[in-house]
Amino acid sequence: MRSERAPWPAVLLLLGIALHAAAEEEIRLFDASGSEVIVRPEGDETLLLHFWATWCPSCVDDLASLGELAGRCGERVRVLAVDAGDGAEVVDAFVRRHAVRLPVLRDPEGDAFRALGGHALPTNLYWTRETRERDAGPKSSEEWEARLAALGCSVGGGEPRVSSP
Amino acid sequence: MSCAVAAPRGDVCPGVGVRLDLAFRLISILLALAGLPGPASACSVCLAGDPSYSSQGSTAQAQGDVALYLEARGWRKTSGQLPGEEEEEGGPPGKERNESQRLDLYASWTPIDRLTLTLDLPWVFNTITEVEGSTQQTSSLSGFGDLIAQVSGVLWRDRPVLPSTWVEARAFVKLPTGASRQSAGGVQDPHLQVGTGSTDWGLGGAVVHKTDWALLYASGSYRFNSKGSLHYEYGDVLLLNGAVGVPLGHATGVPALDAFTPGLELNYRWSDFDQFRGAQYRDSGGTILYVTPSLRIAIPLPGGRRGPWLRVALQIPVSSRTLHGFQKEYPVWSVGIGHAF
Repeated sequence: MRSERAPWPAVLLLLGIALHAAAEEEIRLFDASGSEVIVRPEGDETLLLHFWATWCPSCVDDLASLGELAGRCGERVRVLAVDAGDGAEVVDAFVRRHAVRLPVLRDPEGDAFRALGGHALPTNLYWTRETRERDAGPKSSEEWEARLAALGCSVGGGEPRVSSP
Repeated sequence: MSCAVAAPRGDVCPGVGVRLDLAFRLISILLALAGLPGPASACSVCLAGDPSYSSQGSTAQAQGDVALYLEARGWRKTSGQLPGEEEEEGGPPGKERNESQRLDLYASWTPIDRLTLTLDLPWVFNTITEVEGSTQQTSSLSGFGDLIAQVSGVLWRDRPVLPSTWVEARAFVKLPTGASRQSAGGVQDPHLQVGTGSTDWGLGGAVVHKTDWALLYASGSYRFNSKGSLHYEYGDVLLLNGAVGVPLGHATGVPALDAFTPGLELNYRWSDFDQFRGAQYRDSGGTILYVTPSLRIAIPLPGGRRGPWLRVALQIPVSSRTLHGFQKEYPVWSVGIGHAF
């Protein structure tokens, strides 16, 4: 019996995995005015990118919990809330209505979210100059406290910072 | 409730709501439409359903995603003999029984946003028993079957990230990689071969909509078949599918049930007559409807990471009146495991 086993399916798969694993050196996002913002971890900090969306019900409580705790992080951890896929007006209205306490950036087409391999909301990226870790799903206040403490947020009281365009 | 674990493959964040009443109503309507399971007949190009739905569920892959799905399926059918085959004079008409199991590895990759490439690599085990009067002859073949390559593109979606509604177009080609003229016990039968020997192609599309309590799916495809090996040409095939899945965690508000998504499909198939040595195979083609209950189980991993999923389904033929000639088909079982990377 003739059996043809073309190698290109395996090649395609390997290419896909390689593309999927490719790390970004920086991420392009947008602020409320529509200006481009380049984000990357600076110095020894951990940059926490918290991806959410206005249509995601479980993101609302998560955003509030994280916003309440992020202020304790000082210089060690910088927390940015990144809306994935919503329009500017929708995001602005949501931020005003819910009094979001985190700096909010936008990923309007979801490019950054996809590039990071996001597959659910909320998704968190814990990013240092050496490491990149991701998790997904909402957390309780207690879980956020533990997670942020592990990142070094237990001391200091600085406000979260947003990177300059 | 976590959007990461509540939905199949964690790709949607529906709201929390107890909407089981609506789910049960819809399932009841589908069951009523399908009628009670009963005997049914097969067509020549057996099987129905939507491999994309089986392998990926109601999921729009994101750019860079690679997914693998390995599925085992088995089925059995009985039909009349091919034209030109000898029948015992004065005896009952001859018939053939086909049994088949196959392992399909579906590998899909989304290299750019909206575009997904899928390969179906099948390994096929076929057994055919020819019955003529009081004599029976059984033959078996196994091997790498016909490879199917599909490209699908999202034409429209309601939002760029984790869409809840989208429309997809598909095109596919089936290559004659399983073609052979191998004999088994002296039998060289087109229904025994692990591939058809023809290059066929098709077009299709799908619409997906997710609510906070259910996943709704509809798809259709038309396959243009060409003449294959052993002088046999399968008839063209139209497949229509509708499916509903209810993630139990969302529907009941019980997080422990997040991993389970029972579903119900209706699978319709029309196929044209087959041709054998230039003659119409009268016991081929026609229309048939199947009802397919299924269960999808997502295996959660820590940190909301995507884990593997299992799927079991039983495709039950429920209507055979409009099939041509003598054909009888039995339920098709399938078990699969998948993982997205």
